[in-house]
Amino acid sequence: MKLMNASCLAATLLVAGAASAAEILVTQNISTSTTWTANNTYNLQNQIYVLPGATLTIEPGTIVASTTNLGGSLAICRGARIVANGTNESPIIFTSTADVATWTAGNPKTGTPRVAMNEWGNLTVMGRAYIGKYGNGAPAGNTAAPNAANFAQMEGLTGTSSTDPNVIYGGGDDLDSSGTFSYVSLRYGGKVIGLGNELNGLSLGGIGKETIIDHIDIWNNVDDGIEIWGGNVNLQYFSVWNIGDDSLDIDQGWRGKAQFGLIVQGYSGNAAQGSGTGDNILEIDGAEKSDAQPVTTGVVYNLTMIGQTGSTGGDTGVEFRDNANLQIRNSIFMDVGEQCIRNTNSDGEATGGQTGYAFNGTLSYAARWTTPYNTYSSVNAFANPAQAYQAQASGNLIDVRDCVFYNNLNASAYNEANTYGVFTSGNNVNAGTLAANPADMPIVAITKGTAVNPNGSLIIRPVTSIDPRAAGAAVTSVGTAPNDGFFEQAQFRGAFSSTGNWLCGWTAADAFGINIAPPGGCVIAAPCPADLNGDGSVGGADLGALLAAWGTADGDIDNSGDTDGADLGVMLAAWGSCPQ
Amino acid sequence: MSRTKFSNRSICALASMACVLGACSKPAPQPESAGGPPPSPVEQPTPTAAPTATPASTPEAKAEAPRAAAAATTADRGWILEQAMAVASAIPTKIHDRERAQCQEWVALAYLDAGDPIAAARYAESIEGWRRGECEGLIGVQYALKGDRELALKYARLAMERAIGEQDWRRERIQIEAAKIHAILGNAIMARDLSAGASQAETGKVDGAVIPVLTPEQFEAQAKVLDEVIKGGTFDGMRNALDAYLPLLRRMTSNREQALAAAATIDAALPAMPMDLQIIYGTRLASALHALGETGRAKERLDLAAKQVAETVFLPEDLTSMQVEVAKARAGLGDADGARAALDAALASYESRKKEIVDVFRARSPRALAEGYMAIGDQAKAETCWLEALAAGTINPNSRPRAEDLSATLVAMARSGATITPALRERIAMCRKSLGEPW
Repeated sequence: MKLMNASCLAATLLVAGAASAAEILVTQNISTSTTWTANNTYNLQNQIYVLPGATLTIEPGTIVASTTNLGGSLAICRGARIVANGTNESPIIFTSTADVATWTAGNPKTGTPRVAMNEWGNLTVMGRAYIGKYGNGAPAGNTAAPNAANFAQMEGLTGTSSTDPNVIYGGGDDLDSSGTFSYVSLRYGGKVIGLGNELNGLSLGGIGKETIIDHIDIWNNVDDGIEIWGGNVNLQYFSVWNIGDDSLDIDQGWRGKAQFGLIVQGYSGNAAQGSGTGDNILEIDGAEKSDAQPVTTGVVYNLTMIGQTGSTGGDTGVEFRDNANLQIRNSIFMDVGEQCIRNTNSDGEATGGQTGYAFNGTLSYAARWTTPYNTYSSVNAFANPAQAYQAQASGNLIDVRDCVFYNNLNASAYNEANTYGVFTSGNNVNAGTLAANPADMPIVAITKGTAVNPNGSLIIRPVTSIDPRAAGAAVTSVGTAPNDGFFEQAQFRGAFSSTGNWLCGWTAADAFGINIAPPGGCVIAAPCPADLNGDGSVGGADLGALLAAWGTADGDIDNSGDTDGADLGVMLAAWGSCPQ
Repeated sequence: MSRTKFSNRSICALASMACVLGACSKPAPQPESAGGPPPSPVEQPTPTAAPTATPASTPEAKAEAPRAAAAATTADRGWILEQAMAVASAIPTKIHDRERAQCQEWVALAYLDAGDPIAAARYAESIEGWRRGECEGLIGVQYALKGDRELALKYARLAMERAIGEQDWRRERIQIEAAKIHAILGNAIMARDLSAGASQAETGKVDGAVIPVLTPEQFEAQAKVLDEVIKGGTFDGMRNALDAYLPLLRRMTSNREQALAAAATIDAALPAMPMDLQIIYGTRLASALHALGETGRAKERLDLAAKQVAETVFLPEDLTSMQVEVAKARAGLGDADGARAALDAALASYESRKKEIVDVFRARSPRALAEGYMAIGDQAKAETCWLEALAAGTINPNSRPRAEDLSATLVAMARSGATITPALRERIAMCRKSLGEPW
């Protein structure tokens, strides 16, 4: 066990059972920058805050397993950082002790899927980017126009007051960084202590675009899978399974990009807020109230969205509300329970008469489908909207292009899609409706289990195995995401190419044997820590960097906290190309 | 108040223009995300007194004082920025590479604001990532404004090399600086090509970059272009047009009618802005009106800004800097007593409410106050506030926010022309010494 600062983390050392690692009970907020190391497991005993100024670094391979049903949870406050960089070989896993109990000999790459959720809290991150929220319970000083003073209290967190700095998000810094998290798996979460509501798997409030988030896995969560309020952070590679409410929920003016997302609707139990069974696959709200700015204006490429067709358990594919603008490109809509695309405007704001599209002179929903992306609303506008709204780069404010639709059996599945010409423009492919031919399926394979009725009214057929690689019309797309330094120019539809499977090695679906490895097995990049400059090999440039960092933490390869002879030894042993 | 609305890029670009206009010695803005007032180098009010604490007593001393003060300021600035760079470079790259690069960029841009592109370039070389490209582009802009075509183009090229492979928004920020260099040098086609495809918010800045090199005969045509942009009603266009219009307005001294028309256009555009920007642009407009001799209108505009500050709910960490913005503008209008009273009130307000401000955001307020007192030439009060800013920046137990605060305060001191007293030197040394694990 590495020494931890006693002033910020009261930790009790116990002997863990299954993992054969020391278990640290985390009982107090983290005010001093702290590193959680892979040779321990960490057990959150209550709502833990990483306080402003502190950085929580979590090493690859670290397990954060909180006592089941105790309500341990982790929140990163505005001004704090999380640096949780796992790898696909050594992911960082947040889960419950009940999950760990199913692992074979404490091996996190094993386990048994359970009908369970709400066993611990979640990961909440709060930043200082702009959010669109006023009225309807927002802080009294919030304005409809973008304002750095606008803020909101994070859902599911209880502060000492509504302005408690530990529980608020929002601000005026779209370049804000809350840190980096990569290869992080969050399982069986959603529990909150002492409140009637539940938590999302990953909650992101006001997160700025200098924050890096990729390779995020959410398995069985009681409320939403990932919820984003405002900000402009981008997401890449996310896997969201068996969510009790919406799999990806966006609100309050998110202005980001997302690419490579697998969403699989299922069920994880029965609950008060999230029903325990999937609601919408994507729920896209614009702002609160509807005419506030920023308003959600984003773009997603390469999603594979798998719903619950032929049952009553799955809801809409993409539900639009409250002036939201979203472009959906190169994606798969498959097995959606109700309409694939729908405008509902139903989020409880109707009481003030400010419901949704066209409110207070904003564009109608229909107009969004024909209005170019760079036409900005002048209602409560940003001073410089083109700088604020940078995610969309072509097309209309709402559009669906280059997607494939398959096995969406509800009689109304394409009502709105047809109304807005989804299949008459934009290179979309309908690969089967009522008589879906398995040969047209846009992924290689999927197996669903017996229908179940977990809460007495919503019938679900859980996915029991999947090979999510592209097949049929998904193998090749017409266009690709733009070359903007963030997106990858993937020439296929959905989250996976016909050959690659990025679920391998780090996700719950893979650990539980639900993910089917591609022929030849999963290819997992071996770690190459001596490759300091990330060029794929260990060479002179890395040596130069190591020598320049001598005596500091900057060239620390062996995680000793220092750059020294031991690191040099590791580097020389690894000289040459990194292992593939 | 928005930090991102006023990026380092615009800070430095505007400061570069200000240098051409002879405004380098005026107080400059705090860096992005450091919590200071938005930058307004071109429109900063003229200090009512030189930033020295002790007035000269004899005629000879009076004659020598400005020169000695300037030398002292230059020497102090060099020392302060050396400290700032050392602090920024102490931030470990392994976890905090973005924060380190930002702090380093603040230092390089402070040198650029001081009219020293050579030092700026030297420091820019330490920066890893896209901010180095942005910095190099801004250095090129300054060389272009100075008429050094060769060096301007060299830095345009260096900047563009850094843009390769970056995300679009970072690439655009760099690319637009290169476009501005070419626009200033008269390479209109190259400027257009470089800005093609960039977002409107960025491309509009290229138009503004040429304001300092326009001849009076070109003012009317430029004003018409800006009028049209404002009439177009796209807010990014309006914002860019206002950024261009205000320095243009200050150059319109030979044509009063033209200037007043421009002022009226700016005034009419402000109500469409979010409140924080209304306040900031309002203070700048007041300053410009004052320079045109429209004292009554200037005062009215400033009173409106003060009223807006009083009536708007700001986050606790943002209130003081807005109050200081108005106070500094009041000083620029020659109302030294009013400015002092406003600063004193802001200071009292800060003292009474500072515990409400999260420690990592707390130093912003005394930093802004120190700059305000510097603007009215009160070195003693400024020193008190600098010391408070330095102290407030060390409350958090972690070195990353402490280093960010210390960098920001040092850069603000350098830009304000602060004199290093023994007390400040000692406090800075203590702050530096306190940096280390945990970051």
